[in-house]
Amino acid sequence: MKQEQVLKTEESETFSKDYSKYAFSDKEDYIFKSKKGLTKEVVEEISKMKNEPKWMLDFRLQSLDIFWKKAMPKWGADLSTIDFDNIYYYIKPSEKTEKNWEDVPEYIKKTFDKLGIPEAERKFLSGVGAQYDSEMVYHKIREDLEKQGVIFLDMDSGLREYPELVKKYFATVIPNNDNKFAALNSAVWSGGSFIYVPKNVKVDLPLQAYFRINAQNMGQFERTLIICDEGSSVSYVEGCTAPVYASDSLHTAVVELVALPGSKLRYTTIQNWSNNVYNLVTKRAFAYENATVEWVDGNLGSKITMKYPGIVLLGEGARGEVLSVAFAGKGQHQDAGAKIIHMAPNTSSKITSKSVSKDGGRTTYRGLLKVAKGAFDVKSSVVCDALILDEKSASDTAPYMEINEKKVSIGHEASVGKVSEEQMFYLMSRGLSEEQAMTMIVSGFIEPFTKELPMEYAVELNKLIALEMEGSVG
Amino acid sequence: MAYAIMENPIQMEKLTAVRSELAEKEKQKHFDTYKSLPMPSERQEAWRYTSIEKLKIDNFAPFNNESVIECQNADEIRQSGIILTDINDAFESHPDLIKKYFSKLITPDSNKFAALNASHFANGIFLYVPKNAIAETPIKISFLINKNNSVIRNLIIAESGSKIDFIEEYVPDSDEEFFNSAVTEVYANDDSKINYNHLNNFGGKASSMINICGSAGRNASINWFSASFGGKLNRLVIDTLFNGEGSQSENLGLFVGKNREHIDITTNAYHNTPHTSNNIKVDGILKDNSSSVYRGLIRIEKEGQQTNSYLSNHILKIGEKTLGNSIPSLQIEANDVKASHGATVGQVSEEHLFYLMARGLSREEAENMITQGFLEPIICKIKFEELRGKIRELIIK
Repeated sequence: MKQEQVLKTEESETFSKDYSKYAFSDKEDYIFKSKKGLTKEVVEEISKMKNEPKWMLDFRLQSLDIFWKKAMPKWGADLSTIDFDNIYYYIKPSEKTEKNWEDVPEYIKKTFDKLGIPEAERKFLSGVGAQYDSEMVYHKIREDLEKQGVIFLDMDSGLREYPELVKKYFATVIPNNDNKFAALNSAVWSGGSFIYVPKNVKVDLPLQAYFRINAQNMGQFERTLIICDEGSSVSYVEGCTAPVYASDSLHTAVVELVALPGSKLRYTTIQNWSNNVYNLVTKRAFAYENATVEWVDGNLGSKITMKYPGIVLLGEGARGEVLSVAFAGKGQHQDAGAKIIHMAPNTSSKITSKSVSKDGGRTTYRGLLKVAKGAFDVKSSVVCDALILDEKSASDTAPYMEINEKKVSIGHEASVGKVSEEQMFYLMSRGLSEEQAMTMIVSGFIEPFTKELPMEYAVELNKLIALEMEGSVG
Repeated sequence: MAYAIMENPIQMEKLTAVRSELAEKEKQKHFDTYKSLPMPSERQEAWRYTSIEKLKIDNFAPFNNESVIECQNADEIRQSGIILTDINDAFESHPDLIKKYFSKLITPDSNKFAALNASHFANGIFLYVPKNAIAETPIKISFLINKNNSVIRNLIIAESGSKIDFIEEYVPDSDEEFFNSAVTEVYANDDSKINYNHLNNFGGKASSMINICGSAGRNASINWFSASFGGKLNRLVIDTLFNGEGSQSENLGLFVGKNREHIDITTNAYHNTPHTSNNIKVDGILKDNSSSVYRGLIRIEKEGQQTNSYLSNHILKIGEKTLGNSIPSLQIEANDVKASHGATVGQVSEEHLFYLMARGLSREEAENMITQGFLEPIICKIKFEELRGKIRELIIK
């Protein structure tokens, strides 16, 4: 009994939060801050400050050209309000990435302390990275894993210390001409994680990275590359927050995953940006023979999110799964989804998407399921469900299915609806308030997602949902 | 080849086109629009999976050829007060109705092919069902498309409280390459009921674009049935606009592609008013090297509360090199609604084949039986036995 109580207070201390927990900001005290706007000089400067090899500078400049040439996407959410000239493309908060928490500059340390990062590391993680604006300020992995050859670095250090490995895989999953925002990231990328798991090494606890935007009008362009060698396994978790400013920030990440034969890779995102962040992210994975890739993708915050985690199943027996949740509140548009491309026989995939919109928010599921010629005996199922909580909110579903092979079994289902009166009545007749009942139903609706999260994240997510739901009825 | 459904052409009447200055004027109005609009490209969403690069519509010009339009039972249906005439004729005889209804649902400037139709239509039917009129027998129309191409324009108006069954078929008169454009606007005014059956059976060389749009008024219902067979390019669009409270619709469709045929079916539902209900089901079979694209949108506007709307699409692949695309989508602006869609793509299951073959059927027979069975849930809902029989026949062929 006593123990239970202790647990309870601990929990409420850790998680009794409203967005104000994330909404604070630090004084801007930076080592370097680029000029506003995007020019060739800015790109050259970033590369120079990072002491990059020539091939990377060339890659950046080529990407910049592609970015300028490519038109803005004509589909999806409304991006017309992004002002590319009003954004800082590179802000360096500290001299180098620290391995010792004590060495991280005081004010940044405070930020992450408030967000509970070091505490989490002690409790349940194998390694932690923390990115503050453009740079990773802290990166640390458990020693035993390091000894087994697991690499967990920020992308810049990765490029310095393992140039061959990076060069072999960098931009192979997502080339710089993939789309306008991938080109932008390729030109100005900074930070992000670089992970390599050697053959047959299994990382038992998740590795985590936390991304924080602090400066106003900031553009964060992290670049993550994860390589799982044959037979290995790893789970990676990222969290994102930013303070609330009057003007908008841009978060444009590129995440590339390579799952070599027989490996297992899970990538979990809990995105809780403040409502002034454009979150335009390209995420894609290659899965080779018998490899498994899973994207677990939670989108709560941001002004506009456009993100469609993709899996290309390249080897026989590969499996892909995308599990995503989107929650759109006032003024938010969550345009999320998934892309799965079956390129090899005997591959299977599953997409589960759950979305909730309220207070005038809009959720969109946009997905592609493609079976290429020659990819026979493919199984795939797609389920997307949407809840609309009030009459101001809306939801769209736009799945694409392109099936070029005969021996397949493909299923897709989608439904949109509201919380049923009966369910509400049932719960309320058992003494719950309308708000509690609604929160419970919404939590239950996204249960398939929460149960895949590490315990601590699941609890936090439920708290966030409860927070979002506050004042949603009556 | 023709008269597929009209087994017994006793009173076959040919609707002859009448020259009408007013109709010519209407066409002239849209000629510039047609000239100025570009051909759709594959970059446009609606044409993403249907290549029309090879389709040079100018090769088929001048599009002034009248199609042969026949009605089996014109006299009989006119007895209940229904007006059935050539569309050009209607411009002269019913200018007020034309003014009120013509080109209102499918506007000429919406795309190149709509403009082509509005500016070049040669003939078509005008069907007017007066208030509370009930047609005892189905109205059967056949459009015979010959090698001189066709641009057909139809207008169907069912006044309030009326009720009709309508059967149309598009059949080629020759095996040569031709182009067919047809636009049909259907108005089901308050409390009326339209049961609309569409059958097309184009050969392997025809390119056809048929665009049908129905608007349902208060408590009106439009039930669609469509069957599409063949065509080098066979594009059929059936849109339903729920413009009156309590309106409802069922939209059943089936298609069979063989050889190198490409079938492109779209069925959209636009719910603009409360208390509407909709059920769409389109299933198709792909044989040989055929390909298909199915699109189905359910859009519920803010005003469309208390609406139920469902859509399903199933594709059965028989041919090794078939290509099937399916894009069902939902756009929901209202919260007190139920909307869902489901889609599947699959093959004939080996287990089912084994079951039948173990009972003495050859592999081919078993496969045929399963194919027929796949579409049977839709076929058995067709109201008319003769149409059911005809479609079953076409599926095996």
